Amino acid sequence: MKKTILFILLLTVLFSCKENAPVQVDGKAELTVLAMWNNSAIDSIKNYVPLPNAEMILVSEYGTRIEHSDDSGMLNLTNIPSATYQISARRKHPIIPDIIVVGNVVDVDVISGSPASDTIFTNAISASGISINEIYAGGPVNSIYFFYDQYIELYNSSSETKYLDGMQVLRVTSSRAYCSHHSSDVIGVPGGDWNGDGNIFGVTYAFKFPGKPGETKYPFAPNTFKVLAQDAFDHRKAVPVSVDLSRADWEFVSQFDAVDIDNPKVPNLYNISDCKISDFLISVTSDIILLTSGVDSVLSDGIDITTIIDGVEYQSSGTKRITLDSRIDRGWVQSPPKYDGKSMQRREKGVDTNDGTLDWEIIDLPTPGWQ
Amino acid sequence: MKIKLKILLTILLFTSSLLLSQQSRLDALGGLSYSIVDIDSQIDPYIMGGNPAWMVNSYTNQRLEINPLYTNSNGNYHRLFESGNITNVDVSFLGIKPLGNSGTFRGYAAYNYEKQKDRYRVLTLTPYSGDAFFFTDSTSGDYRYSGPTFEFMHSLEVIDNLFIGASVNYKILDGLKKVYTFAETLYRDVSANVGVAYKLSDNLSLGINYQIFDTQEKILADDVNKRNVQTFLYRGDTHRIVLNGGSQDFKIKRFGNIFGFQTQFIPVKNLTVGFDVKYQVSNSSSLFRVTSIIDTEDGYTSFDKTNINMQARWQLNNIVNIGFKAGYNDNNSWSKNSKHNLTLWELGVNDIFTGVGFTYSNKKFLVGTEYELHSISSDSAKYIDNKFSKISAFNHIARIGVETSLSESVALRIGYNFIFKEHDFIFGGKNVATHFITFGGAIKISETIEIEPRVEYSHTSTSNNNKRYKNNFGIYTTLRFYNF
Repeated sequence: MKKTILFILLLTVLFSCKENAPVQVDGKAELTVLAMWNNSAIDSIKNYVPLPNAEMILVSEYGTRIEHSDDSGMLNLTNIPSATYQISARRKHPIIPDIIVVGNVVDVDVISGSPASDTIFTNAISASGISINEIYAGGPVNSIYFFYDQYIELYNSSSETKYLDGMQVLRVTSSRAYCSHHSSDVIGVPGGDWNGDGNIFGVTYAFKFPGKPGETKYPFAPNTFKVLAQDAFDHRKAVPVSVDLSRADWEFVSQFDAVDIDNPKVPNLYNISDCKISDFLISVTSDIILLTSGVDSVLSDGIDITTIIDGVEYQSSGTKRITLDSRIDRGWVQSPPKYDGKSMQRREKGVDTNDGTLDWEIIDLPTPGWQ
Repeated sequence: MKIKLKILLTILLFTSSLLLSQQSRLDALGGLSYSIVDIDSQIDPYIMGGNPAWMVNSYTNQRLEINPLYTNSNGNYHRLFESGNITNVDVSFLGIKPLGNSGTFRGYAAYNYEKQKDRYRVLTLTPYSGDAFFFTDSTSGDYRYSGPTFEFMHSLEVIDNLFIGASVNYKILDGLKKVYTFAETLYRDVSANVGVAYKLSDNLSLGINYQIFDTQEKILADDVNKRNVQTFLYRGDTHRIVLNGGSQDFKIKRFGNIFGFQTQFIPVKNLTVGFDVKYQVSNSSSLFRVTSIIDTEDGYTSFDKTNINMQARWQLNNIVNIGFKAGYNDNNSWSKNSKHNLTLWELGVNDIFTGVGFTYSNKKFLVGTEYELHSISSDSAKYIDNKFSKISAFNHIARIGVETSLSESVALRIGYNFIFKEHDFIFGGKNVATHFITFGGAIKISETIEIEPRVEYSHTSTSNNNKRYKNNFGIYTTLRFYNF
């Protein structure tokens, strides 16, 4: 009898090692999103109605998924994987086809067992001015570490001519005080407002258009692009699958660097950094780029956030958090692999909802000067 | 009296020759097992149940074996992430040494080289191991794995009729993908097995053993050309996370315990019955690196397996043996998304089987045959992919083996298997037929040295419209020394 009890006890112990599966299952999540737009002729009086046939962009750790709302502005998805979704609704304005209506909702937790629903209130994105439209940082397909064909493309989405005089292009990567090389000087994250006084810190490289803010020597015509090349050179001579930037609109040239290429046919942005003497090199996979008006040109005390025209943070890893201040942009852009010949570009030229995750996409080939 | 003595000597010679034969003999006879008398088909707690305590009884003669082998498997009947052309070159050394009152020692060492040609994207050594995760890059390419395995086992009788035994096994492989992402693999497997057996009487012996294993596979995808590395971590078959970076680190850790119980029962003379019951619980975690020192668990899989086997062999007379086999295997697993604690996949497979066989043998000739019927059913709920299936099928295995002695020192062996699967639960084919043939022999070079060469060939094909096939070819040799 004792042996039998012991045997049963032993079996009980053995089988108690077995673990049970979680009760909730993945792949059964439900999401309903309603896209709305304001059809009031007077902007101050909101009258939201469903936005039919809108392009719905869902971004999660599983990548980007593009769907469309139905005739009633509704998107209903079932059996989707559980994740935190960033969702954007966008389409041409139902009445005025020249403008786009866009709206986002972010950090929507869609988990199996608890159906999620949300409403996106879109707004018309009209001509807003200059924005960073494309960043080509990763270099062409090559195995010789070639990435000197980097460029940044600007777009003037407004209906009026803008002027680039005195504007600055900044690279923001530092966690230390400006120009400090001491690791003990770590203060905050790159692109953060470390002191809470409205100044953005972490600038490492700074280049500037000629002239002063307010001057009108360097016009930027409406609905056009400007290509700012690291080196305005036909890079296909070095790597055949690279890009020809010999006809770029602007070129970054560091006057402190004797070996920096300078195409005399292309006007230059000049280095205004006190501590970086090299060309405007940006990281091939992870960086923050700011475009500022140039009114605040003192880099050591941070850049006044009100002078920042546009800012973009791009990253290679989906597990990192954005460090750029949310007043500039709330989401980071997924960068393509380095040395893969791909580029990052806004989904719609000039459309900036201050959420890089939803506004940007990876494109297979760089497109300097055109969308 | 003389006639009786001759019969007795004949039996003794025959029996001893069988006892001195080894696994290579069974393999050359098409895998005959429960119906044939051989040192490697004994119904006892060690041979049948893997209990190291009983080894001292299973192996009473010393031997040293050197086993080089070459195998190749090719064809388009394989799963998505498996290679269609796998080559193995392996050499192993096995030594068994009875140590008198100190028991019996067994040592094993092997070195394996495996080449998998044009494997599609996946970077893990065994992508289909029951969990819901695949780690891939974006290219197809050749993979090679190589490394040694070592095992040491010791068994002894501590007091009258009480036996203990233990073994440790260590295996290490390193792998390299020969195209982007040039992923490197470091695979390590450590296991230990301890057992106790007690001979209650000449008719009944009992044994229990406990095994523990710990496996880690570490993959580092770090392109030698310093391009960015882009890899994909699949949860299920369709949903994947893209991982970008200068290099990618991925780990699979497996840990498990196996509890075993064995009996050897001789109810009447010449009838041996064995039971082997195993219960295994194990788990597997897939981890990727988020910082230079911190790994994050992305997925987790739990396994539990129950295996019950019964074998019986009745030596009807000096020339005929009848074997019987039956059993039940129940394998269950589930995988979860660790981040959200949600089940991705639940899988249950059970197999009820039975088999009969007989062997006819005289001094110069042996023929044996076995037939097994498996009734298998599976229940799969892949929630993440919204795929559900319940399948039941019968599988059939027939074996035949023939051995003939050409002279005192030369024997020929031929084996054939026909396997028919209504449903192949591993590779997914329907009405899958396999023809397997093996041809080998044994040459006695001296009283203490023999060599057993063997070749094998099998052809597997499916009968549905999208006809697929796989061919396996192998060359094996065993060089055996009875004194070392």
